[in-house]
Amino acid sequence: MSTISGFVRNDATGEPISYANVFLGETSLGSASNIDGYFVITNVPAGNYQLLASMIGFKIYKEDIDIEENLNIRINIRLTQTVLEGDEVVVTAERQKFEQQIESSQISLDLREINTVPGFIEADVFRALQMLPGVQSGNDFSSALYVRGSTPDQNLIMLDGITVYNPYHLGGIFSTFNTDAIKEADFHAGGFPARYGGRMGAILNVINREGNTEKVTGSGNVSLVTAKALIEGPIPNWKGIKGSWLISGRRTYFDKFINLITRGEGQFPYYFYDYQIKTNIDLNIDHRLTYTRFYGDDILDVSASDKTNDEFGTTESKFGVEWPWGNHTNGLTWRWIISPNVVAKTFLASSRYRYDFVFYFDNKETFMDNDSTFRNDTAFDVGYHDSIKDLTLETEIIWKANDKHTVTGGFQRKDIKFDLSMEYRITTLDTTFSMKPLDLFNRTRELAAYVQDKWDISDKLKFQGGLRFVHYNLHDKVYLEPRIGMKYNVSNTMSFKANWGRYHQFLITANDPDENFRLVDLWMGLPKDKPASVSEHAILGFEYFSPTNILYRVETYYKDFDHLLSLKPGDVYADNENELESTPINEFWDTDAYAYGLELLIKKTSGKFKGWLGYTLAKTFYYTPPNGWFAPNHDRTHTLNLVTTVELPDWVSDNLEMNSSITASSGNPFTPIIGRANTWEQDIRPDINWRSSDKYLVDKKNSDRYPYYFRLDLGIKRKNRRLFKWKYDSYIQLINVTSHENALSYLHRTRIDQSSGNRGAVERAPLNMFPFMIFTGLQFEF
Amino acid sequence: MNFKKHLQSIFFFLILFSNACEEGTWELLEVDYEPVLNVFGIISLDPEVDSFVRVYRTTNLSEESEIYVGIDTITWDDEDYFIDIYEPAAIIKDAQVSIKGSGNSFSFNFVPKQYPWEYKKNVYLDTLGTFIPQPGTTYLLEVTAPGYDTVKGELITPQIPVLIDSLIQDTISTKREYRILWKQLNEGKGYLTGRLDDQKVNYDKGCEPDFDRVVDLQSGSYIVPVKICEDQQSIFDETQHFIIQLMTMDENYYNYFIRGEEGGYSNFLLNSGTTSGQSVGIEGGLGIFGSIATSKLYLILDD
Repeated sequence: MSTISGFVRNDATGEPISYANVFLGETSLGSASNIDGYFVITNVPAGNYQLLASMIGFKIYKEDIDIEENLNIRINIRLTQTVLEGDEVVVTAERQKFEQQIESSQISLDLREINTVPGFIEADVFRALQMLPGVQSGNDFSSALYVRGSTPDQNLIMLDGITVYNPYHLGGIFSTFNTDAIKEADFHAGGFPARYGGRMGAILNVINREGNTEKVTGSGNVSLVTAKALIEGPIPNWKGIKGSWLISGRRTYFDKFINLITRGEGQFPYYFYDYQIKTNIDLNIDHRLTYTRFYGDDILDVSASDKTNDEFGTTESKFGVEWPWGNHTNGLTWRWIISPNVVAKTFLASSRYRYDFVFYFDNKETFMDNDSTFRNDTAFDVGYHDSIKDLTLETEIIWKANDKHTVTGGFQRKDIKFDLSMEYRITTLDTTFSMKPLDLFNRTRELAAYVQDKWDISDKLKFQGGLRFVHYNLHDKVYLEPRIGMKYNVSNTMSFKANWGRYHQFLITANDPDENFRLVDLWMGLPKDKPASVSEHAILGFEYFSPTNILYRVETYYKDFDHLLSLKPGDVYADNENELESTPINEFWDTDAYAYGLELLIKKTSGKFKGWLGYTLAKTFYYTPPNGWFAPNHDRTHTLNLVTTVELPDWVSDNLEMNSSITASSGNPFTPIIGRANTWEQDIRPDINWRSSDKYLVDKKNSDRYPYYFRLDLGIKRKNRRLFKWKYDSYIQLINVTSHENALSYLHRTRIDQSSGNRGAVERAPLNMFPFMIFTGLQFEF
Repeated sequence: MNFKKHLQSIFFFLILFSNACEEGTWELLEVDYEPVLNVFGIISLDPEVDSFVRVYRTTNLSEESEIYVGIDTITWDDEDYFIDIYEPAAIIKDAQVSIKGSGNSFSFNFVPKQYPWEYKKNVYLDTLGTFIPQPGTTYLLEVTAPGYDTVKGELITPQIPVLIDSLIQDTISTKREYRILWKQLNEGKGYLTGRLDDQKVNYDKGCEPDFDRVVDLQSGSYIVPVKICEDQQSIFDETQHFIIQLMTMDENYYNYFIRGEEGGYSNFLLNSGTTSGQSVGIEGGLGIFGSIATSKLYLILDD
């Protein structure tokens, strides 16, 4: 028996094509290309065959081949793009995933689908994911993902396999991922396989394109806030070594714009940038090196100064805020095709996230008195610092043992340094006084090994079983994480799926769970004295793939969480130290939780009308000792999402495309105020007194709901226009077209009777999220 | 401050984001809520501090929460400052308040405020002077008011602390550590404070000799650490008295005032603090019924 293997690539760009169907005509022998475009067809008897490869959007590839006995044949397939879809059977990636995947709850979005969703200012991968069933946003300002009851810190977000710890710009309004460089966003809402660990919620791996192997090309995009550029091209062939590269970058330009129009007088104190580099080098047909880099920073820098002179002297003062935060990642992957059936990947990556917030005030006074000069200098600064340095080494081997079994095994070592601190400093002419009320540093190591077998028991029944072992250094303990999946094919268009798995997490964010806005995540490693957070997912699903390439999916899930840590807000008395300390991060509730739901997805990915409809019915409950069971802030019972892309018919326009997205959902919970009550605090001066405060009396935590949420966004794109030799698209996006008022929170105020001066009677008004807004931009290629 | 160069940027920033967070229409907040009694009672074994019971009620959001009663005049640096004085509308002035213990029942009667600055009035006191609480004794509180459920409370008074002044130096300084000793008690927490008796010197913020500390009464001692400060600018002629006070408390007082309310709700968009309503040593309503005892020591504070 022989083996046929190789890569399926786009003939124009050299980009690998995932999930292409590669098969030998008039036989049952075939395979789908994987995420790298690699395919393997095993147990091929000697003979003459026609090798075919198909993928939507490409002409069917056909090649006559002659197979001899016991040979390993490498064939690299180049597919040519076509606009016309012929009568021959053309397979979509969606169809391939339907046939191949056993895991439930997996969705991949390609660049086209990401761009389908009208975005706030520009297309964004996170905002596209928020439109999927089971995924929610916290509010309009945040692109963070709440997945089936899990919070954003429970999601593993990766860029080309490298963990990114705070993947947001501007407090979450944008994700840090530049969509122009994205090939695919591979998203698991739950039940993910043994190769992934360290998180309890969801997995998102954003995979960048490899770069054009044929010629140097580029594109750009200018929106109201950012300017982006991308350039890619081949690495020239040198002694058989070849490859490709891709560089993309993005920056806001408001600060430059203000500086320009005010001729240097004006200052806009904020900007962000990010850039990505990806280089692939094929040393030979079996060895490839890939280097990936991602750098992104937000910088807020505000300062003001003042100088006064009078007859007594001079006073100069200055105050400001310096606040840079962001991610820097680097990764090197070595892919080795050991044999047609065995592929090994070794991966070394570093990921650093940090934020440094400094507020400073500097005052210099100079006094003249007769012949003497006196100086009085005072400087005060307060700083918050949070950093994570993650160094990961990972090896994975995929072995297609035979037609029935594909075995995957691997090892991962993750070293993480966490540093979370707060410092105050007062400096005078001759003295410096400093205090560090918060100084948390720990060094953690997760060692993981896993093995998984994907077993095709029969044509109808497939099984995937895996086991992951994780050793966490601070606990010095090995945790077991079994993962089981089954798929039963009722027919070649219908299947049932079931998945179950256990997931541990050894790091947390120490943010207040009640905050309306989250500017940054405060990451810290799980302390030694806290048990590991653990979750179990159980998922049942049914899928139907229609002859017209429409996927129908129904899934139900149950998730159980133990030992979640929720920050205790406010002043906390530390029991073992007999000290009263007011620090923002020092104690947590050991929280239990569970979530369950039902999701429906209908997705159409081909034709002039594309998109998806998703509906979610979900409930999430958290438990803390003072509050009992309650719905967390991100719990929404009903969510309906509709995303559409329509290429208008030729008789209307030959280059107009319309996109739309609709979200309708139940309101999020909030804690209502129901009255007023006096509370007392002791005040020792030195006599003991007690002072009273009149406070709002709140009801049970999160026992009320905001009104329902509704938002309709529209996008219109005019494509394929030309300016000189450059092709460009122009687009306009309309956000919240119906101007529906979606409440983020409530503002409260107290009426004052003007005649008597009595205070009382509370009024409230909703603080609404996005109003109706219009954004426009240009996207061009060269 | 020169803000001119920021004006244009602020303008553009506001144009871009001012609509992103719109205020909706204001409406009166009406909630179907039945007020309950909110009682604050202290049994004091300190002869300088009267035992008292304050009886309030919780209020609805639609009703007035405070009543304007007059103006307080404060003179500072030869200038008069006028402060509006408000009184909680929630004060209950017609409740029946009694404390039972050692087989006796003591009535507490309402003492109204005559002047706005009488912060310790508008409270229920032992006007007959017959209530002399004892340490280690169980006391029961009962408050009844028309239209409200009866509130009951229970506590066990703490032991009276004894600071051992013969073993503590008469003169202390923040530049040297010093030890405070007290007679050891079997159990419980104490609250140890150091306060200037009368502040004649302007201490830099963060540099005052004052301290607060929760101590284990079994330990019998605490060492006050050195405070690193730059030299004070002002020089004083008079002796500075520094008061060390050790307060023992019952479990209710400790849980309410020291541990505080756990699981509190915070929202920076609310223009007020919040409480979920604590009942510590109290049943049938909100509030706290607690007890304290104190011991004081006067020391001299050196430069």
